[in-house]
Amino acid sequence: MPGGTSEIEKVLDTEYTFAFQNHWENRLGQDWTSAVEGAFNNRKLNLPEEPASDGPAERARRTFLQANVGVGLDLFFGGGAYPFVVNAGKGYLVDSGLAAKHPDWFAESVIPQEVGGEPFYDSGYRWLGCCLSTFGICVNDDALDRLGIEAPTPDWALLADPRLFKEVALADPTASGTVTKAFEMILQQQMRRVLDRGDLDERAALSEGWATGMNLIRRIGANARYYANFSAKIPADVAAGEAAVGMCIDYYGRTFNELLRDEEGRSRLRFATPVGGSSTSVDPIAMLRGAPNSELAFKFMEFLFSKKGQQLWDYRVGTNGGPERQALRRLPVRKDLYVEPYLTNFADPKVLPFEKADLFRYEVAWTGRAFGAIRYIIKSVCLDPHDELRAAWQALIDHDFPPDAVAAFDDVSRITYEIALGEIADVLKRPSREQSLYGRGLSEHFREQYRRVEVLAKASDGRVTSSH
Amino acid sequence: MIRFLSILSALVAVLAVPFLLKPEYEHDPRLAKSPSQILNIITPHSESIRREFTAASRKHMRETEGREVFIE
Repeated sequence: MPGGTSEIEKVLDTEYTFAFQNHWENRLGQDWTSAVEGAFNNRKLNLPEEPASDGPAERARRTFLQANVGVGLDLFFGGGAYPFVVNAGKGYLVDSGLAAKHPDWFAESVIPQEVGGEPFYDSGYRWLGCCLSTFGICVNDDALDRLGIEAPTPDWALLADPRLFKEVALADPTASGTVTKAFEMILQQQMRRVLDRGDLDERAALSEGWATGMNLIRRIGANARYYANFSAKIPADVAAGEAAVGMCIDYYGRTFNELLRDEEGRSRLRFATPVGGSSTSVDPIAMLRGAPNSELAFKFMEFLFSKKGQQLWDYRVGTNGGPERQALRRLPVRKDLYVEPYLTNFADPKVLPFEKADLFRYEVAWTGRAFGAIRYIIKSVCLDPHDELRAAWQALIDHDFPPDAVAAFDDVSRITYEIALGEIADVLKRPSREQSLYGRGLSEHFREQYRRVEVLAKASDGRVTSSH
Repeated sequence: MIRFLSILSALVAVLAVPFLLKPEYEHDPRLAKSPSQILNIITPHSESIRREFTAASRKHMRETEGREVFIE
């Protein structure tokens, strides 16, 4: 069953709610109340040690976690780690027993539990990373030449270059946790830079880095030609010259680079990970609670994590153990494959993710709790008011970035680090109607701000201006 | 005669289609004799990843366990 991760999360929520309601009412003969519905999959609900101390909410939660209630699905396979963390917390994912049978596979020398701050598998083995991904920039060098931009080693800041107005292809972060993760990398890189400057305490540095990152994201958003619903559109459009650059996941960038290579080995599309600008994270697999065919699901996972299964991710077509029709251009999670004789068969033998993993350290404590807020904020400040944002950015470009208009544009006091972690994170725990209402208010705030910036920029003619 | 050969060629082409599509058809979970042969996976992975892992894992199960499995 295909679908984006956000869509899959909704399917799992709906199906497990129906399944548990059926179990609760028809098997246990209990009343289905709003307290039960709100508690059974609540990952933040702490259970007392003694079941005798349970209230109605705790009883529902404990019952769900002890039941083998299923939804007719065996495995959840692929997407970033975040939805797996969330769904494991809800209780939808269970330990398959793979690590107990093959403890040697989950040793530091084969699959480390954490690399560069990114978890590679759940400490309770409810999800296990099976291949790697990084984020980066796909570049059409012909288009950059046309615009007079040189970018041999692109940085995230390239995407905010005013010369790339309407030339940046972006994916919609509300449709995919993976895309949101790329924006989280931008924020974390800025937070790290301010912290490394050493003149502020950690809290102040993180706060300033967040603001700088949010401004960078809004500039990138202002340059955006569109926000695509599916990530593969980004490299396709950049290769076709519809956009000059785009933000994309490594395997899409590498796949399109390969597909568009000419006889001389030159490709219209180049992919680069900004140095120190992205962590290496995993795409996991997990067994679902109540899997109808758990024995077969276990065998599939066992194959997936064996060397034979791992080779499929990056072996070339035609190599022994490689794919039948198309190289997948994904990087296996097993460290012990990045040596000979395996590397000879790799489609990407020079990409050695474990050697470069230390260049970026992901700090879950900085933005992990704000992950939902990041997606929500970007929707409210970039996607919803996109017309106003672009009009403001165009006016800033046309009028050479007047300082008062730039200052108005850079005002992110409504979406500070503190507000994201506090007020907005709280809103996201409320019913969807309240979330929508708050989001509309936030979008309207920024629409008004962008209109003001446009007016200020246009009114600056004749006044002294300065560089942005 | 030419007309006859054209019709014959068209007929052969139509009859050949199911055979040409056989490798995909073989993976169809509707061919499973028992639900225990079907693995249900929910995934955002691309068609190419789904196709390659379906083919490879089916082959692996056939070789190591002598079992015919289907992935939905």
